[in-house]
Amino acid sequence: MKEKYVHILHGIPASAGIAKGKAVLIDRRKIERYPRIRIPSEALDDEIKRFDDAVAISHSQVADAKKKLEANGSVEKHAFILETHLMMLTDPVFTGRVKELISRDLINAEWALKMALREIEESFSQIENDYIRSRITDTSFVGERLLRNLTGRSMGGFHIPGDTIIVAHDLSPADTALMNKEKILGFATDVGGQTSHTAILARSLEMPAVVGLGDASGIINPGDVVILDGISGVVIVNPSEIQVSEYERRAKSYISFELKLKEKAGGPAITRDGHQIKVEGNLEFKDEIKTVIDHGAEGIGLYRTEFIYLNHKDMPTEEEHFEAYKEVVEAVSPHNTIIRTLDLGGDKFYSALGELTKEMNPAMGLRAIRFCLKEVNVFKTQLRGILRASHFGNASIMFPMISGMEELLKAKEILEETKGDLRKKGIPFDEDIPLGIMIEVPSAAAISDLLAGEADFFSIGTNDLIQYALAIDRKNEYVNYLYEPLHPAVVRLIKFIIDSAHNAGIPVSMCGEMAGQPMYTPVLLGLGIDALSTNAFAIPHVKEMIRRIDLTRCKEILSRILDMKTGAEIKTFLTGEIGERLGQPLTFEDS
Amino acid sequence: MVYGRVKESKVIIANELGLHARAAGVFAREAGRFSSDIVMMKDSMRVNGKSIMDLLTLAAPKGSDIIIAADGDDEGVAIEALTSIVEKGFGEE
Repeated sequence: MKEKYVHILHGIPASAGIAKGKAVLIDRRKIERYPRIRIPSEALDDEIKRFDDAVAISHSQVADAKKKLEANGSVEKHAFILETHLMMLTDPVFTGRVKELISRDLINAEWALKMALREIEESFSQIENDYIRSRITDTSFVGERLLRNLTGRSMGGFHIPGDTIIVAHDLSPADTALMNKEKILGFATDVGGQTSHTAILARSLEMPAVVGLGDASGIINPGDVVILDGISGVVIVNPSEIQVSEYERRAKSYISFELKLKEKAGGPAITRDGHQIKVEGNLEFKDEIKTVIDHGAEGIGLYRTEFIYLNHKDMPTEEEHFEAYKEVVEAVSPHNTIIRTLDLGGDKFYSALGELTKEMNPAMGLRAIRFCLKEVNVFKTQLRGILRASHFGNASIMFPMISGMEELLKAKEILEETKGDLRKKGIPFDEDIPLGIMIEVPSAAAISDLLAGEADFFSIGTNDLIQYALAIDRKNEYVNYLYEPLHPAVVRLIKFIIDSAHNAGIPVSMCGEMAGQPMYTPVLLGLGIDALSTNAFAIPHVKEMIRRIDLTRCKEILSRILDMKTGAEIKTFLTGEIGERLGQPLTFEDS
Repeated sequence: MVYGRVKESKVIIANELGLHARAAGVFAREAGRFSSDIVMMKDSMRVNGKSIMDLLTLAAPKGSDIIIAADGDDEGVAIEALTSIVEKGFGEE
C-alpha cells in the first residue's frame, strides 16, 4: 500500500472555521483526457441528442444554482455570473458549432465540444481588453460542466460521501453554490484570494475555506484525511494520530470558544492590566461593512479602493469614488475609516491608458503612489472623492508604498492642491482629515523617524514589508518557506517604526496579515502597537487574545525575543508562552 | 442575405462598461426573441447577435461605433428594439 505522508500546506484563510474530512478532488484539468472516438453515421442523431441532453441538464443545474444564490440576498450579485453561464449554454453559435463538428467529422460529442471550446478560447485570447478576455474562465466553466454531464461525471452524479473536504484547482461559482452543504465540510483550492468567488461564496455559506494553496490538488489524493483551518489558512494532509486528537480537542473548544467570542466581539479589547488596544477591520468591498462591524470592528483600519478601478474600461469618475467612500464613512461613523489611495500596478491600467508596457517585476514597478504621482489627474480624482466623503463622517487618507521623503512631500502637495480646488468651489470636506502612510517598503521603515514628522499616523503593511525585507516572493514555491514574520530583522524593523512614531507623537497601527494572527498579538503589544486592523473573522480572536494578556508580560516577552537569533527560536518560545500560559485554543500551528 | 434589403442601424455603445458579459447577455437574449438573423458589426468584425460568446469577442468599449443588421420577417421590429437597448446602455446607466 502506498504510504501516506503528512503534508502541511499554507494558503490564504478565505472563510473561517475548522473542519476535518476526507478529500474529494474536483480536478478541472482532467477534461483534457477525453478520447476522440469516431462514431458510425447511423449513431449521429443519438450523439447529437446526447449533447442536447447534456445542455438541458447543465442548464437546469445552473438555473438551480442561480435560484439558490438569489434566495441568499448577500450573494445576489453573483447570480448575474450564472445568468451569463446560462446564456452561454444556450448560445446558438456555440451549440451549433458543436453539433456541426459532430456531424461533419462524425466524432463524439466530448471531442467536438473540446474543439469548439478551443476555437472560442482562440478568439478570446486575441481580445485586448483584460476584463473581457478573462471571461474565458466562464466559457471553460460552462464547457467543463457540459463535459461532466456528457460523461455522467456530473456534479450531481459526483459521489460525495459525508464529511467531505472539496479539493480543487479552482471552483466555479456554480460548483460552490450547488454543493450539498449537508455532506461538505469545507473547500481547499490551489488558486484564488480572499475576494475570489469561492471565498465570498464559502463565507456566505458559512463553510471554512482555504484558497491560494498553490498545489493542493496535486499533493492531496482522493480519500486523504484533511484538516482544514479556515482561520489560519493551514491545511494538514494525512495528519498523524496526535495531530488528529489535538485537532479534535481544539475543534471542540473552538466551537464553544467561537460562540462565546462572537457574543463578546462588540466589547472593547482591554488587557488584564487595563490597556485598551483598538481593533479595526480591513474592508475590500462596501458590501462587507455589515460583516466587519458585526465582528466587532472599531472602525476601518484599511479600506482598499482597488475594486473601484478593476473591471472598468475607463478610469472611475469622481462621483464613483465619492459614492463608494461616503457610504462606508457614513456607516462606520462615529468610528474612523482609513481610506487607502490606489495600490495597483500601472500594468492594470494598460488598457485604459494605452501606453504602459509590461513590467518584468510589477511588485517593484510603477505601482501605488508611484503610479499616482505620474498620473496626477487619476490621483486627484480619487483624492477629491475621499475629501468630499470626509464631510459625512470620520475619514482618514493613507498613501501606500511610500519609499522616501520626496514621494510623501509630493503626494502631500497634490493633496493640498486638491483641497484648494474644493475650497474655491465651496465644496465641504473635513479640513482636519488625518493623513497617514503605509510603512511597507524597508527604506520607509529605515527613515520612519524622518517620515513621522510629515504624517499624522503610520500603518504597517507587514505582507509587503516582510517580502521586501527578506527578499522573498511569497508566491514562489521554492523560497516561500523563508517567509517568517518573526524573523529578527522583521521584529527589529517593526520596533524601529513604532519607536519612531511614538517619539514624534503619532499613533501606529498594523493592517497586514500579521495583525490578524493572535499568535503574534503579544509581540505586537510588547512592541507598543496602538491599533490592529484585520479581516472580519479574525477580529473576535485578536480581541480575545488581548483580553487574556498583560501588557507588562508582553513587554517581558518582547525583551526576551529581542535577544534571540532566529525566527524559529522566537516562534518556539512564543508558541510555548501562548500554549502554556494562555491556553489559546485557536490555531493549528505546525509546531 | 440580400444586399440593400437588410435593415441596418448605426449605434454607439453608451454604457460605462461597454459590451461586457452582462450587456452582451441582455443583447443576445433580446435578439433571440426574433426570427430574423441578427448581426452585430464593429470595424471589420461581424458576429451573430444572438450569441453571447460572439458578442463578447467584439470587446466593444464605451464609445464604440457598431452596426446592427437584421434580416428576416421581423427585421423592422428587431432593429428598433435592439437599437434602443444599446442606446439605453443595456439598462445599466
